[in-house]
Amino acid sequence: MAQSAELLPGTLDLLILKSVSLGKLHGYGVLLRIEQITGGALQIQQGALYPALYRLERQGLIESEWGTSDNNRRAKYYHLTTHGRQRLRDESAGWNRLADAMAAALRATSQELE
Amino acid sequence: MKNVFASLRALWRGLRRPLQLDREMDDEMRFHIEMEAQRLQTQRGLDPVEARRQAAVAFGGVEKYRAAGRDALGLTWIRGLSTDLKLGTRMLRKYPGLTAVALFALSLAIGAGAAYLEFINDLMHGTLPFADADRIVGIQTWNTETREREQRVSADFAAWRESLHSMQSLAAYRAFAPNVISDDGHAEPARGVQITATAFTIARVPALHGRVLLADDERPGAAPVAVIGYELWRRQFAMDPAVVGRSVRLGNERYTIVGVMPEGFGLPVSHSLWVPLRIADGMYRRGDGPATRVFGKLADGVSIRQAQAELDAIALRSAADFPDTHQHLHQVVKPYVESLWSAAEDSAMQTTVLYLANILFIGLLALCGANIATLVFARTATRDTELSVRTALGASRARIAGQLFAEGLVMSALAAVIGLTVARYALIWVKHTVTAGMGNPMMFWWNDSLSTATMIYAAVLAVVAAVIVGVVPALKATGAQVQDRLRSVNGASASGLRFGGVWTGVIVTQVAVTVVFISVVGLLGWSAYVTGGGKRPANFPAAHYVSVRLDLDQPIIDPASKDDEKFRQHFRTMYSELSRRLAADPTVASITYGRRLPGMNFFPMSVEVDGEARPAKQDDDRTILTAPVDVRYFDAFKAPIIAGRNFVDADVLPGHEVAIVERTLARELFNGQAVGRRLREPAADGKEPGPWIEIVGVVDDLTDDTNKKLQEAVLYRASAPEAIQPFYLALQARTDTAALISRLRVIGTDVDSALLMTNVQTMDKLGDADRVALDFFARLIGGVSIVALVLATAGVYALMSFTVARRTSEIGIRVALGANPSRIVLGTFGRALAQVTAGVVVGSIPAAMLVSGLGPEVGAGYGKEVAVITGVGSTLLVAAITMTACVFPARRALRIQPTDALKTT
Repeated sequence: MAQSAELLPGTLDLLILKSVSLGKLHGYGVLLRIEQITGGALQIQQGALYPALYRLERQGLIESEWGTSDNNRRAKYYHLTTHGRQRLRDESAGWNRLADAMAAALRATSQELE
Repeated sequence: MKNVFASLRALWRGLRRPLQLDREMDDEMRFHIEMEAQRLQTQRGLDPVEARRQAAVAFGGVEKYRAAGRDALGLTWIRGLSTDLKLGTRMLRKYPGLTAVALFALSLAIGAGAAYLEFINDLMHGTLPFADADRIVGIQTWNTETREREQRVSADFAAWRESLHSMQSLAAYRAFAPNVISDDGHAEPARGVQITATAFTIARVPALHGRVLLADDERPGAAPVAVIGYELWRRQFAMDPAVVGRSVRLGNERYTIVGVMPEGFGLPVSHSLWVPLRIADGMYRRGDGPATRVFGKLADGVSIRQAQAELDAIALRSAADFPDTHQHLHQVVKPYVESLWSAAEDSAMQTTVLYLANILFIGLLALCGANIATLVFARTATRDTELSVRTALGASRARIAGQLFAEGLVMSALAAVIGLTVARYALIWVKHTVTAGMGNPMMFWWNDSLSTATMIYAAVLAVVAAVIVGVVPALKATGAQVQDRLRSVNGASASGLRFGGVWTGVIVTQVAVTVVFISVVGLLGWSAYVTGGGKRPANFPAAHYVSVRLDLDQPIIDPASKDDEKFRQHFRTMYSELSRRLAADPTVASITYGRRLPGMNFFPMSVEVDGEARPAKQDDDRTILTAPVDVRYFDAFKAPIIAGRNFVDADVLPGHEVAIVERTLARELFNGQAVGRRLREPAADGKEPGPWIEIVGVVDDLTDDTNKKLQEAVLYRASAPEAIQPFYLALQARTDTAALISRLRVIGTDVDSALLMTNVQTMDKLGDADRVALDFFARLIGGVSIVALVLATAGVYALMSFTVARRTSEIGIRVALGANPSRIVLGTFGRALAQVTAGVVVGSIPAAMLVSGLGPEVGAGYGKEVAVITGVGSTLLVAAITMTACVFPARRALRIQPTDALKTT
C-alpha cells in the first residue's frame, strides 16, 4: 500500500467531483472510489465527506436521489450535473497547471538557474 | 442562476421538512458506517461488534458531521428558529393572561384588516367563476360634457357587434323584472334580464336542464322562451326537472321554459331569469332606446388597452357621423366586475380611496401591537437576568431580538389564524345577512372562502405585529447598559429596566383612545336605548298589518315614463280595482296606502310658519317629516283625529293645500293650537318657497310619542294613488296575515298581471332591514371599544406589576419601618394615576367634540343631555376600570414581608 498523504485543503471537493463523474455513487461508494483512484494514498476523515457532498449539492454541482444499493439497501446516490462537469474540467486544468508548476519548481537545480 | 435555484430548492426542502432532512442525513451516515463495518468483517475478519466500533471511529462524530451538514445546506438558522418557536409556544402557556389579551387584540386587528381586504377585493375585483374570466370586460359609455353615464346604447351595440375586432363576443342586457305566475295563480316578482344569447357563449356554462338561450331565439317571430335560475326553479317550481318545455306567464306574456341554469349562476349580477334581448340593426335610433349595458369577451391575445384603442377610434368616427348624439360620447373598457360598480370614467381614484382605508386597520394593529409590546416589555423585565446572562455568553442583540421576534410570531400567527377564522364567518354573515337585508341577493361570483391574497395579507400583518410585539421591546430591553445590569443580576432593583417615556406614551394614548371609543359607544348605545334602536313602536297592532310595495312592471325599464299620463291612468285603474277586490275579501279588515307607512323612514322637510319670523339661521328645530297618504290612512290605522277634521276625498284635488299633523307636531310647533295655522317649505338655494299648506286637523301620533321631538313628527298630505311613487299599500288582516298575503298575491295578479308586489312583510318588521347595516357597524365599534378598554386596563396593570416587582425591596423596607400603607400605595402608584389622568384629559377633548357633534344626529334631539352624561360617564368608567387594574399589584405590594424584600436584595 502506498504511503498515505494528508489531504490538501480544497482538494476533497475536486476528488468527490472526479469520483461521481465516473458514474453515480452513494456516499460510501464515493469514499471507496477515492481510495481506488488515489491508490489509497490519501487519508480522508470519512464523516467529512458528507458536509462536502451537501455543500456541492447546494452549489448545484451534484444532484442526489434515493435508490437501492447492490446489497438491496436504501441509499442516496449522487451524480454530476452539467455545471459540475464544467467545474471539474476547470478545476482539473487549474490543478494540473499548479501541479506542473510545483513539479517544475521542485525539480529545479542550481545549474538550471545559471 | 442555477446555483440560486439549487440553493432555493434546498432551502425550500429544508423549510418544508427539516426533520425529514435530519432523518435522511441519519440514514445516509448509518448506511455508511454499516457498509464500512461489513467491509472490515469480510476483509479483516473482525467480529461484528468490533467491526462496527472501528467503523464508527473511522467515521468520526455523527453529530458533529450532521451539524456541519446542516451548515453546508444553509439550514442552521432553521434549527435556531425552531428552538425559538418552541420557546415562544412555552411562553404562551406560561403567561396565560398576557396571551389571552394579546390574542384577543391581535386577532381582532388582523381579522378586521383581512376581512376588509377580502370584502373590497370581492366587491371590486371579483373573478367570475368562468373559464377565461380575466378576458371578460364591460363597456361603459360616458358623456364627457355632462360627466354622466350614457345607457341608451342599443344602436351602438348593434353597430359594435358587427365591427369590433378586439372582441370575440359581445353581449347586452336590460333589466326585466316581471311577475312569474305559476299555474295556480301564485305570482312572485323575479329578478331577471333580457339578454343576448352571446352572454351564454361568453360564460360557457351549460344549462343544468334543457338549454341556454340561442341566437335563434332572438330572430323576429321566434317563440318567446325563458331560461330560469336555480333559485327560481327551487322556489317556484319545486325543482321539477320536467319544468323544461312548460309554459309560464311572465307578466302579461306567456313564455316557454327551455332551460334551468345550475346553482350559483347569476349572470350578469344576481339574476335568475333570462329572456332573449332582440337588438337588430335599425331597431333603435342612435342615442335612443332603453337603458342597456354591454359586456364582452376580448379576442385571443387582445389586451384591454388594444380594445380601448379600437373603441376610441370608433368613438371618433361616430362623433363625426352623428354629431347630434355622439359628439361628447366615448367608451371605456374595464374589467367586468369593475365595470359594474365603477361610477366614474376613471375608477382609479375610488379604488385607491377604498384600498387606502386599510390604513385604518393597520393603525388599529399598530395601536394594539404597541400596547401588547408594553405588556411584553414588562414581562421581559422579569427575564432581565436571563437576557443579561445570555448577552454575557455571547448572544448578540440581534439574536435576542430574533428570539423575542419568534415569540411574538408564535403569538401573532395564532392570532392570525383566529382572526382569519372569525373574519371568514363575519364575511359570510355580512354577505348573506346584510346584502339580503338591503334587498339584494349576493353577487353570484361571491363565495364564502378567503382568497390567497387575503391570507398572504394576514400573514404580512402577523409579521408586522410580531415585529412590534417582539422586536421593539427586545431592542428597548437590550439597548440599556447590559453590563451594568449584569453586575446587578443579584440585585436587580438598583439598575434594571425602566418603564420609560415610550411606554408611558403608549399607555396615555391607549387610555385616551379608550375614552374616545367608549364615549361614542356610550352615546350610540344610549340613543339606541332611548329611541328603541331607532324604531318607535306603532300605536296600532302592527303585527296584524301587512305592507307591500306596488309597481307596474312594464315601465320599470324607463323610470321617466312614470310621469306619463298613460301610466297614471293605468295605475289609477289598477288600484281602484285592486282596492275594491281586496276590501271585499274576507281576510282584509281595512286597506290604505302612502308613500311611507308608520315604521318607515319618512322624508324630512324644512318648514316656516305663517305669521312667524323665520329664524335667521336654518336649524334642525324647523325640520319635520312628511309623506303623501291616502285620505283614509288614519281610519285604517285607527288613529283618532283629536282636533279639526279628517281628510275628505276632495283634499286630493289640485289646489287643495291642506294637511293633518301629528299631536307632537301641533304641540312642538303650535303649542297645541295647530288647526287653521299655515306652514310651507321655505325658499332655499334659489328655489321658490313651497305653497302655504293649511292644517285642517290634528291626529294622535301613529307611533309611540315618548320623548318625541319635532324632527320626528309627521305632517300628512292627502294624495291620489297614481301621484305616489314609491307606492306602499297597507292591509289590516281580519284574522291571519299569512292568509291575507296569499290572497293578496292571487287577487293582485288577477287584477293586473303586470303588477309587481315586493317587500311584502308584516308592519312590525318594517325598517328592520335598514337597521342591519347600522347594527353591524355598532357591533364593530363595540368590539373595538372592548379591545381598547381591555388593552388600556392591561397596560396599566403591567405598569403596576412592573413597578411593584422593581421596588419590592424598597416597599418591604418601608413596611418594616412602619410606613402608612396608603402613603406606600400613593407613592408607588402615583405614576399610574398620573398616566391615567393624562390619558383621560387628552382623550376627553376629541371625545367631547365627537359626542357633541354626533349628539343631535344620532340622539335625534337628545344631544345635549346624552352628550354630557355619556361623556362624563364614559370618562369615569374608563378611569375606574383602569385604576381597578392597580388593585391586585397594590395588594401584592402591601403584603410584601420585610424578610422577603431583604432576600431579593
